[in-house]
Amino acid sequence: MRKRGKKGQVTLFIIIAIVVVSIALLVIFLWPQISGLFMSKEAAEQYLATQAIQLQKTISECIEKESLRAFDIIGKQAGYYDKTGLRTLYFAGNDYVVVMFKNEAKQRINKLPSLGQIENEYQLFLVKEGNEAIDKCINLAAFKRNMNVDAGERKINAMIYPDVIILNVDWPIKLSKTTTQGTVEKLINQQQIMLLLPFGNLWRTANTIVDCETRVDCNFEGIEWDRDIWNNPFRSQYISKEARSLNKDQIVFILESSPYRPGELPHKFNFAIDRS
Amino acid sequence: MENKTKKKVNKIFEKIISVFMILILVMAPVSVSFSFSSIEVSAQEQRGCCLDTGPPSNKQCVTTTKAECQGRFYTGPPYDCSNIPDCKPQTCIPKNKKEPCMRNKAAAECIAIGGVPDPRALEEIPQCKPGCCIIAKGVKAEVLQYRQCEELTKTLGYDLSMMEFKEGIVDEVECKKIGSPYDLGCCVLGGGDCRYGTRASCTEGSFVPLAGGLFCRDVAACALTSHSYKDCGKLPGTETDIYWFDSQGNQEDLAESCNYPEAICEKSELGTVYCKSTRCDLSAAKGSQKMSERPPKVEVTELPTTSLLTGTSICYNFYTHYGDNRMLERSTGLQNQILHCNFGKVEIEGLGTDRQKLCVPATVSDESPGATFHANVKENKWQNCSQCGKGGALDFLGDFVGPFPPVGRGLNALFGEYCTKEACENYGDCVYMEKTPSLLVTAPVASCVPKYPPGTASLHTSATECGKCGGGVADLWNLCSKEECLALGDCQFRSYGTVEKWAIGALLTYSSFIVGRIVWIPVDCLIAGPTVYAKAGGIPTCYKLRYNSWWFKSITEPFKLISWIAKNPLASVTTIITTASAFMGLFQKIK
Repeated sequence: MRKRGKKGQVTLFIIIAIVVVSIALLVIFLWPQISGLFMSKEAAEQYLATQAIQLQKTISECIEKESLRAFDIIGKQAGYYDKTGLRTLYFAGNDYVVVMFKNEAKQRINKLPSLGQIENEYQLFLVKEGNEAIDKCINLAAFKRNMNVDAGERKINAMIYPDVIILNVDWPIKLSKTTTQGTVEKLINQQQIMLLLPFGNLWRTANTIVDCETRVDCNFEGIEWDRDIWNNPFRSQYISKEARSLNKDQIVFILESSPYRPGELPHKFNFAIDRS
Repeated sequence: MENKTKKKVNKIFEKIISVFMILILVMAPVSVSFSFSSIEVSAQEQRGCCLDTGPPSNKQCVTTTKAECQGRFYTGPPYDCSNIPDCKPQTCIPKNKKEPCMRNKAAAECIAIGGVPDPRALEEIPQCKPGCCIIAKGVKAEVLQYRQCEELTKTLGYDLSMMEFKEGIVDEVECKKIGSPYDLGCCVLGGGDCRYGTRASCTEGSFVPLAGGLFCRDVAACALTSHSYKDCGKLPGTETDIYWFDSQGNQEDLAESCNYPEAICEKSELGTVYCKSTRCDLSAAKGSQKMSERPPKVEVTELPTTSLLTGTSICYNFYTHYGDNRMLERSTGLQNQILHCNFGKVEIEGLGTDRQKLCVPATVSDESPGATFHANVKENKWQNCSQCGKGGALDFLGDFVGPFPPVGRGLNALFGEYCTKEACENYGDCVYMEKTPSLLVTAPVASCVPKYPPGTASLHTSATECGKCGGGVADLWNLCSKEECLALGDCQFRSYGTVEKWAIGALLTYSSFIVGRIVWIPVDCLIAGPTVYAKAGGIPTCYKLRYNSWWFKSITEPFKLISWIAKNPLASVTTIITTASAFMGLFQKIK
């Protein structure tokens, strides 16, 4: 009888311990929400303002990081993210997209994408992998622990300029926090992001080369190369070129920007031409 | 009993048939579906010209499979869209006026990006013509296409009447000099704020014209500190030099001239400005290879300069290791290169390890920007060198008798095309490699080889090319030498062994003796016919005897030659001369 009574006591203590630990864990886990409930309206507004800055900074950094990765891929693939249907030349472990070739009718075809097409390729990157990577990087769930985050549709447009790429981010986000005194809301949108990347100048150099190669009487080698440097000193200063001939008709061009601004990184634009 | 057995057999037979029928019924739809699906797969995998792949890749006029094509699909041949009118290359005038017109874009691709394809050449379309775009008397001066100039003028907020377009000027520096601002002054914005610039750019304040070294600092209404900091010039035409700026960021007087193109204004990451030399330092370059007078031997030459100005270039060539002790292996990977100088950075233009393109200094007649050094590219025309002296139907005979007096040269020319030094050099970038000299009436033993050894990295015929070694003039007697082997391309020379050399030597000596005799028979019989064989029938008898007696005997019984030499001193002397000439060639080979 006594034995049974002791056993019952032990069981009761265990149950009480489990309940206490569970409540403690729940409180720890939900503390931001619980503590927020007892905030004053002013404190909640202040809190949202701080969180908004933090969120904007995170969003900006994540979009910048992923966009730099996108333009790195796009640059190394002659302005394309998706190489489907494009000709390539294999050289030293890499495939280079052929942006000038002769078709079977011996007509020279220019496949260098325009800046508008490159901006569309960036959109393709976002659809295929960029948006997912940005979401993973921002990790909205972490912010949602402290407040309500109601994110709208995100649109990112890239505008390529000679020295920079401007990203216009349209992503309205409504932040809110419920307190005992009522609900505080804050609507934020994103600022423009500037990538220190002379993509426009890299493209212009590539366009000069391809423009010459699509002409019957022009080969971009020797004196034409010198002429480009001579005629375009302000563009050429920060862009270096390298050419490797696979044979007399197939040439791989590797363009690389030289950083000249704090925080800028070198960037490549690779492509090939095929005169055969 | 028999009936029972028959019935049983029939039943079994019926069973087999019914099972077979069931199997057919079951298998028929499966096989039909299989066959249809295979047709579908093959149709889907068929390659052809796709007018538009559709989203997401959105590519126009590409060769792909039907499965990847959402637009019209054309099966070939040709498969590369060359016969599709919508894929015809045309000048594309993009919708966005900030973008330049692009040459030779497929019409469908141009339309897909909202552009307008134009069959005219880019230069013939007025809005695509490049030139110097000067906006508002020098607020901006840039090399652009006409349509881009119009767009930039509007973007900067000016009326198109403020735009000046100088067609054909495509040099940035020249454009900026032409477009350098005039009508300069200080735009007083009020509250002590001022902006230095052109009258046209002063739209928000009152303009105070300034000239002769006066700046905003000289205007009383401007509250600023003069010579606040230095920076690269901002006004068109001043970008290459260092200027003073006031505390409000207005450009003032020149601080330091960089003497462009020798140097150009550069701002470091820390923000300090300096004149950066545009020259490239080549002092570390060890020197380029140059073909010597006797290819493939190369000479290492100093570069023509140790400092190269921006926008200029020099050749940096490598052909073979022969004669250059720095490289001890075969010529794999060696190539001609052009070193371009781009604002202190050396840019390398590799012309290919197949050495099909060569770097040559630009001739004076080349239109050269700037001055001093420029390199150019020429094709290596080596392909036909080995054809020199070939092509005759009886080449073999000509080559056989060529080196032997007295009629070798004549017979060589008679039996086939004869390769001379001049003929060889007319075949392109070829050089005549003489191994045994011509002795008056004999043909030399020589080869016509590439002057600049081609690389064989990407040539399918590498083995064939190297195999041509020793195949020149008189190729029966022409032995492959190291020089010839290396001149043929990326080949490796394997010298003959001692036993091989003596075996070839003995064979050559013996053969040359025999051949020498044959070619001397006409002369021999001209003398011996009327004298020695006068009574026996004269010259014909001499011929008959010469050919029928010792010729065969000397082949089958070589020792009989010794007794024959003793009996025929005159013929022996002539034969010895012939043999000696053959020996000379052999000696050269072995050496």
